[in-house]
Amino acid sequence: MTDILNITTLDKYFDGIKALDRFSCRVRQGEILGLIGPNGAGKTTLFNVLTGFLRCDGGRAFFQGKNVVGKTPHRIRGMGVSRTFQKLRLIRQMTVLENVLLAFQDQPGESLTRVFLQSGRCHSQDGTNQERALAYLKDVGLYEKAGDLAGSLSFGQQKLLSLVCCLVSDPELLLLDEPVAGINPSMMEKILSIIQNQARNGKTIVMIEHNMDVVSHICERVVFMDMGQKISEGTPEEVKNDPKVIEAYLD
Amino acid sequence: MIGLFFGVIYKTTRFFHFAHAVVFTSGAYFTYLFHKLFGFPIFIAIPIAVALAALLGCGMEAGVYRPLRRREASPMVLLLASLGMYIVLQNTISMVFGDDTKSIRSGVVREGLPIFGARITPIQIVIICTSIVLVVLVALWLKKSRMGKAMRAVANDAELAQISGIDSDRVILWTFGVGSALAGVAGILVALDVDMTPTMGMNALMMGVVAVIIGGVGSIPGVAMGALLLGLAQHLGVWKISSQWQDAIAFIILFVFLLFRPQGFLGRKVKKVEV
Amino acid sequence: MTYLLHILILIGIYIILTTSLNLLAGYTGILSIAHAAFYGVGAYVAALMALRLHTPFLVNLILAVIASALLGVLVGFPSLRIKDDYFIIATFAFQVIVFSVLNNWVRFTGGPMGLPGIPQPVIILRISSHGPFLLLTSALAILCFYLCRRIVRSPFGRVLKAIREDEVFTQSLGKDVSSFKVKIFMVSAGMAAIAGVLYATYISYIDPTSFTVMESIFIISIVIIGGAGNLWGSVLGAFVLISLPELLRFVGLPNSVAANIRQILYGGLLVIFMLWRPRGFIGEFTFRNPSVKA
Repeated sequence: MTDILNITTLDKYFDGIKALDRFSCRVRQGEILGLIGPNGAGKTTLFNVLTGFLRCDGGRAFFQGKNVVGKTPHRIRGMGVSRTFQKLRLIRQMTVLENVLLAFQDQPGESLTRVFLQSGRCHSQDGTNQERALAYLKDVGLYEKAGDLAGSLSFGQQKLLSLVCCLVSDPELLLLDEPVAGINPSMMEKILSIIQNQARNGKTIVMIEHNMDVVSHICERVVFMDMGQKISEGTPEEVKNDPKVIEAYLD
Repeated sequence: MIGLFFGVIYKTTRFFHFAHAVVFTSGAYFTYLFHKLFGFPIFIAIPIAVALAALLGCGMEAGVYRPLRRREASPMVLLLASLGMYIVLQNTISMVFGDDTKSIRSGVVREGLPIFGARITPIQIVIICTSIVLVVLVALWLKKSRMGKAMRAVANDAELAQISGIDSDRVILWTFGVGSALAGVAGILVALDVDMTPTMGMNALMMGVVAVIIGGVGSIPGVAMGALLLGLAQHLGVWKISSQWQDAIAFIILFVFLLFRPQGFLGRKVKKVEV
Repeated sequence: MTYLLHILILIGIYIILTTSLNLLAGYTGILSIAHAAFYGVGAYVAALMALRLHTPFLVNLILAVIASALLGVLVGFPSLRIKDDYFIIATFAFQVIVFSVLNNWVRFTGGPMGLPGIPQPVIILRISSHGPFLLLTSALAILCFYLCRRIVRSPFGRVLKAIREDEVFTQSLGKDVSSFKVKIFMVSAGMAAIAGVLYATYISYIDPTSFTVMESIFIISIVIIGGAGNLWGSVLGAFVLISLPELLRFVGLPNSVAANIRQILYGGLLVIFMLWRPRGFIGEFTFRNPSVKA
């Protein structure tokens, strides 16, 4: 099994505080990796560095052998890495369908010159995208909401929608920041089954989660972080019983 | 040198209070009103005018800004509202007093004493001294007094301050009051030096903003330094290039600073959107 | 009758200005008070070319647009690095700088004396009276409106709106936000130049006082009051805010205060709308910043 993501000694400082402290980790292709740890451990910071929203102060990270450190977020997305946000980001003023359409890559209609010079092509591509988008929405049960404003959806549905936006570009690596936090059990099941499905299709997922039941249930491996460092790594059982982890929680 | 005291005008109110420009102007015009038109002696007209300027500022805060803040309006909305207020009030002044230059200067315009190769009139000396005194007083007040500390707390983190029991509305009101009073004083001083027109406020404000951004938002010594540097740069510029380019120089400096160092020399870091 | 045509021509010119600014401010959420600078650059480039080089109208128009668009790119780049509120100040600074150049570079631009005697446009025929000029203006206004509409309804426009609402999210979806911003600046500035060229050839005299900060503020006020994020809002706003003050003339106000009243009117409207209806008449964007609060 190849490593799809190879992180080596990543450092990140914030005003003198070390958010990431020589953090290293390897993620195997096709696995579901759980990223856990107390608040402020640096999990979201790690995601932000990996997806180009934050500059790191040292270290490297390779996705499919290519460097991602220092690249812009949109380029990293283009390389095949998608993410969701802890603070649930969506365009609430646009419809559900528009949000999904936004997520498609390589749209000719997004190039100004093509809008005017190749309007036929743009139109037809947008039509194709619309069909695909609606198909996705149907799959996850949001079809009826397609024309509604994203902001009118329930919290759980919004989380589902943001996951759909993630998946639409068919990424090889998914970085999900608390994908099921704060939602009801049935929606949680739905989202988790989508995630597991992705893994079955060979996609890799790294998941930040606080819910240990969820983590034990679907994560094959787990990395425990605290104070910017990797404290422990292994199966959920191993990590749970690791004395270092217990110590970190007791602090 | 005048640049030094533009810094006096600017208070940390968390957004760009364009209408401040009009408070400045109004300070001068209120004085005019009372002195020339109503015949009050100048020493009485000035304090009244300053008080009225303060009231005007508070009025703007209470009438417009506070309701907007209640609705969690973004800073841009506030900025636009203050622009609107500026336009309304400036034109009111134009209408009432006319667009021509008015004067409250009394006495003969004297040559001025040569100092360091420049000529400084007595009035300008008064201005410089007054500004230095005021700046120092304000700085001390912010550091030592309770209200001053409250102001700094609110400027730092409004929510936290609220939770700690500081009534941020009152604090902001005070900020406006003091800031506006200072602006009024500034307006009067400038008028004493170079007369007044209805649009004098905007120019002054922009210089003030440039000084603040160069020197650093939220730091009084920074602002003073910024104002000083600005004044120097402009006057140096006048030597080499014709005086009409003064404005452009100021704004080019501003542009460059905004681009490369938005926190100025001594200010706090400007936060970008959090992910 | 001529008076009516005159008003309509002005409205047409302002429609071009407001729709182009709406693209930038209303749809992409980049508030700018530099629009009069692009307006002015367009006017001056066309005027100078007509006066010094005697080139035909259409050539001047195209070159004015290009010049302004390039300038737009110049301002677009700083927008990537400077945060919202501060950026507005930066656009203010830019506007003042351009004004200074126009006002002080006397040898080139005529300085405060301006450029008189700008020839009327010649497109096959010389357009010399109000009627034909209104046709020209309307044609260009409709063209600009159509262009804006095309942009707004395309996937490109969708990304613009997304940038306005949540730039971080938009980036995470793989959109090169910087490139979008610079491009829209270019388009917005270029269009403003068209208005400038129209103005210059209509009045046949231009001077820097038509292209000041106050003018920029006027334009952005119309965009906001009419409705940011809605192109018809800009049209409506232009109609209302240009004709309303003219109506005041008939009320018998002395000329000396007319200008002031006009400004008080739109300044007041700005405040009132901000307080009670930030979306303007029919706008979509209320200048909230949900992404920051989330």
